[in-house]
Amino acid sequence: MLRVEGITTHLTTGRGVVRAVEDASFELEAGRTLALVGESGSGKTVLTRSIMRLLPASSVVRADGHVVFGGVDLMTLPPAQLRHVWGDRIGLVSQNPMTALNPVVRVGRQLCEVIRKDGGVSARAARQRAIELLTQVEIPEPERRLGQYPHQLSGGLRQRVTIAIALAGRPDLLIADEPTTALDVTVQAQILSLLGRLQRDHGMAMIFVSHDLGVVAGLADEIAVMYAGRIVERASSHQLFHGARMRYSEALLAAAPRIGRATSRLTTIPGRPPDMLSPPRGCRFHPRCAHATERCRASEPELVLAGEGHRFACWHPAGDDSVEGHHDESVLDEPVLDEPVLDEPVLDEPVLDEAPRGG
Amino acid sequence: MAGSGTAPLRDADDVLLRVEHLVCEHPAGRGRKVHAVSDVSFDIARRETLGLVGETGCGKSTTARAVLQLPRPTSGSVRYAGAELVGMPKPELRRIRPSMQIILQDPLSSLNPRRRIRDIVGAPLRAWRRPESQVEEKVEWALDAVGLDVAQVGDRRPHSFSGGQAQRICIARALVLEPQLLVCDEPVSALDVSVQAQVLNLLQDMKEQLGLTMLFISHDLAVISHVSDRVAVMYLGKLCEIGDAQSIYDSPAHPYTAALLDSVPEPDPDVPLHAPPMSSVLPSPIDPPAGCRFSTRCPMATEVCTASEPPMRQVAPGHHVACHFPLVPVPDPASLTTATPP
Repeated sequence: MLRVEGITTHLTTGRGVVRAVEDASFELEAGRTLALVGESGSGKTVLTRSIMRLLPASSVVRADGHVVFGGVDLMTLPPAQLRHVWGDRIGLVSQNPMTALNPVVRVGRQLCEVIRKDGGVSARAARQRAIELLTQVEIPEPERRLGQYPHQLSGGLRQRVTIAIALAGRPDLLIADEPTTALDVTVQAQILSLLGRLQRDHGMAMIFVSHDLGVVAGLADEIAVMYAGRIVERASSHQLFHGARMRYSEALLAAAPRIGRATSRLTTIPGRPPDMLSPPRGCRFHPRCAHATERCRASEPELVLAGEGHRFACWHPAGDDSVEGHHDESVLDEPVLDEPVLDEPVLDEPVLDEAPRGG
Repeated sequence: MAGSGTAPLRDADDVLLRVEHLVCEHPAGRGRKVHAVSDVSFDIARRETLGLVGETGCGKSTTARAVLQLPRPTSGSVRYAGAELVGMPKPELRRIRPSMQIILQDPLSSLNPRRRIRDIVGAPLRAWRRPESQVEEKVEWALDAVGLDVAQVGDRRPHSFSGGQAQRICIARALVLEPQLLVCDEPVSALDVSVQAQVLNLLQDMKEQLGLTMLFISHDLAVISHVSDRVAVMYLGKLCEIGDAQSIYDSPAHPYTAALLDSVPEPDPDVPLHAPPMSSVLPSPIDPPAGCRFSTRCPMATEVCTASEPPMRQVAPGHHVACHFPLVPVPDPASLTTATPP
């Protein structure tokens, strides 16, 4: 249903050109969920915005690749036709419902606006549909909520409203960008199970963006781990949690504190994600990787298939190396580190913590 | 959800901080009051970490600030190293402040963007008019302790650091005066997982090296389980449950604790998504529910719960719960060796 091929997005910022996404590819079938996971600045949000072509043209200096969605390449679609893709075919739920909703417009009008955007729907029918949508997202007393402003709702209810708006056009694909990050854990659990149920009921495909592997474990069919603008591993949820191969995925799983895992020290990843103005040569993770060798510094591993839909980009993957030929470790490769890796080396330049969001 | 009991308090000599019947109320206009913290009692032994966990708006941060008298609580008692802080005259309180420090959630907003790192970290020492030679030495020591080199970072300003580094600088500044009590208010919530692990390990190291006592606040149950010796669960201005971390996580006695733990997404694809059977409507702290404050959301609530507030009761040595119907059996107080009479 959705085929993303070689998406490369470079954005211009005040400090220079940020190579936000490089050569990202994946496919997504109807009714399935792909999770994009990575730390801030890894390019996950820019990738989803590139797929939707929502980045401001003024800041995009390079945009390559194809997004084939329902047989049409969105990258070549004229803007007038894109408007019929947004909302109708692809719904978007963003992280902060307070900025996604208009604070001075009642919830009901914001919903009806979307329902009636193509005309042909009476005000009464739109209101009926709005109530139906609020019921679908399990908002109690939907009639009363229609007359309220966003600030009168709790964070969880607000996020439910943005989900209702995203569902209004009956999209085939829902993109949820960190939809639960700003919410409390009990509300998060409710929104996650709501999204899971809605997706099953509507047969939608979903791209779920998160920085938290724990959040996506039960939700995603497939997980794509992003690091420094690249997809470094793609695997089924089960494969990733039970046998991550790429060293960054492995380290990320180990770094999160877990309930019931009694350890006095957490496994850390030394250093910090690279500055995307000048990402490291070779494997982008090599300056922080405990298994890095000459080869990792010299050449960048490709994302290759290692059976059963499990792809990863690593010269020295975790687990049994003899399974596939491409990633065999050269005997000459001795682990050498570039330089002593300090926790978070200090850079000479000012460093932004976050990649520009949406340009 | 009471906490209106001092049953969890210990008599031991090594208790550094003892908070009793702490109440914080703020005016909310038209004669109404926000009941941010209502009758909370707990203690922290020397070199112990108490994790304080709860949802947004439950009063975690207000409690921590009241402990530091920033601002002073409405009523109650805060005994720190034997001295009563509530009502203590200001000059005297000021002399105690160096030994109580705080680290906040957003490191960049707690560093003055116009000052150099060496001045930021040295500021607490200069405020105490320490000799300049000592200031330099201490700043170097503190930055070194958090993994930064004063020669490299001393003359930079906060904007050139990432969130993780800025949090290290905040920790260094909190440590220069060699505090005994370190309050950490969501210190890693703004950080990425890989950097969060570094900062958590650093705090752990500092605690061991300097013998710190910590009050650690977080909404993240996994972080709390990692750092805490004991855990206190807060809901709408009250303590629900307090006890050893192991005991709380293995056998939560309060339905709210159980719901919180049940809500944490399992990093395991074989565990299906589920939400605990709990209403998500958080009552207002201006007009909190009568009886048990959790009764409006509790799947097990009965008439008793709306009528009367449950007292803190012991369910296991050192593990107390404020619930009429705890999830673990309440033993006869006499059968517990370390039992404290109610």
